[in-house]
Amino acid sequence: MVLFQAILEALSFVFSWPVIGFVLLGTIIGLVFGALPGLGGTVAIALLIPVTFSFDARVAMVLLAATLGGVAFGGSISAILINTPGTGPNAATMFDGYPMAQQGRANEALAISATSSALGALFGLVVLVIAIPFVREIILSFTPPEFFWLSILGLTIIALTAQGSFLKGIASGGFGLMLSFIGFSGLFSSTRYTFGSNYLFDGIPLIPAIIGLFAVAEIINLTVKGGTIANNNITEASGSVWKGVKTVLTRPRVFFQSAATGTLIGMIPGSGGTVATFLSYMQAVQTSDNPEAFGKGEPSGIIASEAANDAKDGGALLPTVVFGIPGSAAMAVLLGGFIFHGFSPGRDLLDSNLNVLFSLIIALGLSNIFTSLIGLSLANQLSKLTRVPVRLISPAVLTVALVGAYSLSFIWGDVILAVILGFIGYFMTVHNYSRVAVVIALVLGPIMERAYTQSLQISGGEFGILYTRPISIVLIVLTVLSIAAPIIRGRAKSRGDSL
Amino acid sequence: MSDSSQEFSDGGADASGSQGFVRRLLTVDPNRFDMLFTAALLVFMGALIVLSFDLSENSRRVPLVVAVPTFVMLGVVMVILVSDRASAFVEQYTSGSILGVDKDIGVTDDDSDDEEPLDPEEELYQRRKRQVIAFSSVLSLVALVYIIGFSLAIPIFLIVLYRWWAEQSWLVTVVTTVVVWLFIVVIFYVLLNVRLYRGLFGFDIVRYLPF
Repeated sequence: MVLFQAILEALSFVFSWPVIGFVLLGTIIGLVFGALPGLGGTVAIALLIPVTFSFDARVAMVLLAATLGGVAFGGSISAILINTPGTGPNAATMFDGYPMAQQGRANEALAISATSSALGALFGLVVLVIAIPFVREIILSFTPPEFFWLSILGLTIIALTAQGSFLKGIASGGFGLMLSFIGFSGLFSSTRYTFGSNYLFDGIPLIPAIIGLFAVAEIINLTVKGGTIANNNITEASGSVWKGVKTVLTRPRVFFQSAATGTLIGMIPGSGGTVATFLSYMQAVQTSDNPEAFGKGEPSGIIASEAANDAKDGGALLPTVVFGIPGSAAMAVLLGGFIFHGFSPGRDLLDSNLNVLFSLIIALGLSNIFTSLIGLSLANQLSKLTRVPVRLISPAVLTVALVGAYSLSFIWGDVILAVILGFIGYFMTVHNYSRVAVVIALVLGPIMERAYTQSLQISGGEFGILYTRPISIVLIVLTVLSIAAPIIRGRAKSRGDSL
Repeated sequence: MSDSSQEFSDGGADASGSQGFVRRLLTVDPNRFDMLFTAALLVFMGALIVLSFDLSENSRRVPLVVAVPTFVMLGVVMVILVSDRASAFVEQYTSGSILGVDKDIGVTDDDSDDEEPLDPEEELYQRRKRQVIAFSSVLSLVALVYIIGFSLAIPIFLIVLYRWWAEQSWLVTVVTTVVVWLFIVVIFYVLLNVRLYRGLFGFDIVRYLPF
């Protein structure tokens, strides 16, 4: 009953004016950032969060969710028309999308992508909505010891699944946790690791940190890459749109298989969309009656990639909103947006702010539908965005990022912090450390320490409370398994190789 | 020392003078930069561990539980980066890059397809030059903003970068600068009511606009 009321309330909120306008605005911003290779949803949301500073918190969340919804399909436009994926996960779309465009079937390919994206996103969100009542019961039974182990598990999984090396992933998480401990701690009435700086007294602010680690670092990355974003010729969108829509509807097996894979992969924190789309693409090839056609303009290739890519957002939202463990970099930044606007993952979003959660889910679904409609009609224009030289984009984005960092608290130190973390973030990318792990640790660090302290307060200082409760034991076992798995797998592999 | 680092060291050996020095500096083996970055993280973590001992027992407990293993892990990463034997030992017991450290990082092949392929040293040199430009431009913007404030620093920064770094025509430079500047002013100053930082001399050209 509570859930049903929250859904109804969210529906009336999202479809009211001007909220629906913000959904549309977010969709367009997401489309543009998605179509621009190198930027993507993470940078879009990092730049948008400061802009939403004075917004009503719910409207802000709707805008951020809609932006995220617009990114995935935006990336497929450049993949299909210019053979350059807008975002990493769109790379699998390129395999069959670009050959179709070269055969004069670009509109058909775009329609397949748009339909698969919209339906895939809706599939993922429906799974999320169905899962919420169950996970809600679980999360409401959690107490501080469980939250403590959940934070540990979350960090371990992020480090394990983050790109790059496991050791560096774990070290990145540790680095982020230590950053989260900087400043005055109300729990212990003490100031830690401020190096005598007054600015650091309040700790490392999350949003300037995110702007630095993602927006500033990406701008440096783009500048170092140089050149025009896309060097390939743009294929004009031509062919039948309706045929593309029908193609998806007549291939339900590929669609549902891919959407289910995308949703499941999305639920695994840190795994990201690229894994989802490539796995789904491989599945489609393996289960096809005509596997030779893949890579030469096979519509099922686009369905597999795009359905999985958009469905993963619904899946990735689940660990993000329930456990505060984001499924991807974009989700990590979105989580920063939640916290910035006063919403905490877990109990808060699943209990007292359930209507906010559903508003976000509806906005995400709606933006995927808008994205597909707008994207289809403006595909040619959007693909031309990729011809804009990086040298025109990066100075503009850099200035917006720094103004954004300053505008949150009007503190000059926030700008300096964003720049320092931007440099660190760039080096982390270059040297295979995980920026996502740092952001997650910044979010989870205070939660973890609070849970730890509360647990000991409850038990009167007895450490047994941390490892005697059943759910805690399950979480400890999962944590140990997640650390041991790659070592065991590695040893098995090396034995196999030596035989 | 790995083969790749040997190659980069040799490549820069015949250069001479200050230009040669800059070139040698910019073509240092990517692995050494990885070591340098890891060393910086190691020092930072070490400093936090030392500072922890000034805190009360309760206040330092969780940070130490995090910092000590992180320090150890960074140390292991460092050893792997420095020693080929350690790297080979770790690889023996792990699956690829899950626990091991990828030693061939720092150079990626994402440059323009249209250009003729460069030799590895030249490619690294060009990339490092772009890195220096990127870092310098970010630092210049920060310095400019600190001295003259956002409202004046942004157009100056954009004009300089668009005209001389991006090599755009004056028309494109001016139009793009005005569009970006107006975008920032309208969004932050007009709509969000943000009072942009005015710098050391209190410059605020936005207040002269008819908004």
